[in-house]
Amino acid sequence: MTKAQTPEIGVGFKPEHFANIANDKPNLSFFEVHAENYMGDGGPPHAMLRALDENYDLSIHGVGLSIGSDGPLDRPHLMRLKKLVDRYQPKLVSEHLAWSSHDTERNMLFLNDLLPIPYTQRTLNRVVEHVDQIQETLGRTLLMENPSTYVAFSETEMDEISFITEMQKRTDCRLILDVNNVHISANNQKLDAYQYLDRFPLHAVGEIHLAGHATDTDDDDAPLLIDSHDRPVAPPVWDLYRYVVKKVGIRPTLIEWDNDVPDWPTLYAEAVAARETMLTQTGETSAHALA
Amino acid sequence: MRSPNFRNDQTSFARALFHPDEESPANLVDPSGAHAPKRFGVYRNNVVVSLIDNLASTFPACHSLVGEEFFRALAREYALNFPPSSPLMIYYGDEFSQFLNQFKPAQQVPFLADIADIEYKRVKSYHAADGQRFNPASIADAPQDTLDSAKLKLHPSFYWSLSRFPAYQIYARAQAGKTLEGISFDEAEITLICRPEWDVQTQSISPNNKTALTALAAGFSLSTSVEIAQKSDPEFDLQALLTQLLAIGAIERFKFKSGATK
Repeated sequence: MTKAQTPEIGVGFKPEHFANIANDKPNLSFFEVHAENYMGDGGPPHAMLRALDENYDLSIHGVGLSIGSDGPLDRPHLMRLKKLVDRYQPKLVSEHLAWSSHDTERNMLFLNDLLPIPYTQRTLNRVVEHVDQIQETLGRTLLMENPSTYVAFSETEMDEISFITEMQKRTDCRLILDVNNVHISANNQKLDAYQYLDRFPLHAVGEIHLAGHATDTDDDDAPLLIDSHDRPVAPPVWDLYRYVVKKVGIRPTLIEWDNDVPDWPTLYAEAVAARETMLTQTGETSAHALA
Repeated sequence: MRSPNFRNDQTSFARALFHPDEESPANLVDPSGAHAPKRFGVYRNNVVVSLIDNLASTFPACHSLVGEEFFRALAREYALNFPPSSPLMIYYGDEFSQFLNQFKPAQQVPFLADIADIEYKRVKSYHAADGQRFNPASIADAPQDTLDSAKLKLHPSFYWSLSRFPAYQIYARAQAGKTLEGISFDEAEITLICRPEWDVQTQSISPNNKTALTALAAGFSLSTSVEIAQKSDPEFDLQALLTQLLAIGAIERFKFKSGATK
């Protein structure tokens, strides 16, 4: 009999939960942190990260490298990321298919959001160049996350899946499949989320993200979904997660909750729900996972 | 004020984010190919709101002193004119205090800029490199003349902030959710900020320590610092200042002349 695989479940770490985590030692595999919050020299952020590192795997998730930028990568920032990665040797290092920095003639402008890129041959070449450069600098494989988007570009030459598939092939990076982003983009771009998942290069998925979203309206008063990370994972996103897990089997899964951060039991309950879903879908039992 | 001057392909997108009065870029469309200004508005809103929220979390005392509506209006003005220049959002707001000093509407609350200075230095202290805790035994047997020529090695998380207002008292009241009733606003105050262990500490000291503190921080010896301070204040008492610096953990050690630190 083969040993049962334990689902690796993690949550996005928030300092306000540190005392709960230190006391409860929750049954989780990993914590994910936004790289940029740990680029100070010392203090409680690093003390907490060291403490987490003793009992859990770490995943470092960058939000500032602006890989989709038209201009060159922010080299000093890449070196900051390298310093952090070298220091903690996290299990996973990831970034986004998006841009957030803009180099003006006078100075660098950081836009503090994950902005969309047009899917063209030119942007693909640029993104591939940037991912190669990052992987080379860090000396390890990067995971790239699929975006949530609110607009499309008139100059688009290919669809998102073709872009991601080609990027993955050319750079040999791995992927974060953010299922909430799939649901959001499918609604906002009028696509079928299940068809999107059927075409996604699932073999390269190294992590799955789950999060909550808000609902707004677009120019035609149709629902426009917003990637707000401020509430529980929505039922249709759990449905997509079940569908994905059935196809790919056990993969590290993360609950992200970055705004209106709830108390620890509420967040942990989401992680437990993800574990149960994964076990059910992959035919494992809780007893196996907890053994 | 910095005003963005964009050039390359993402220029129109970035520019439109910070100019709500301008049209959204023409190449941004909905799935049917129609121009979609409301969809672009989501990014506009996300960017500015995220910057305002970031400032609200860095400057909680300022926020509580002026209230939600006024704070967000000030923060919006700052965000549009001083957008971040680095992905290190933990340090965003470095010019907020100067901005409050110069921005007319903020001058209704004349001490606000000084409270912002304290709060920003608290953030820098929080993220500063870890330092050493002072060991009193290290100077227990140092002869007086050696001590006089000693210089201070200050803790990397130590900052101080001088205000012509009682900024520390105002800051502390705001943080405790109390009113400013009874504070006499014409008292100057120095706020010491340090993170000797986990939490950032703040403490107030008399403004007559300004000269000595400046001299010590600039690397002058204890005796020279006293000499400079006593030029303007013959009564200046270094012992009292050192006691206060030690109490907040601002001194890592005394550096003695021979180069051998005790």
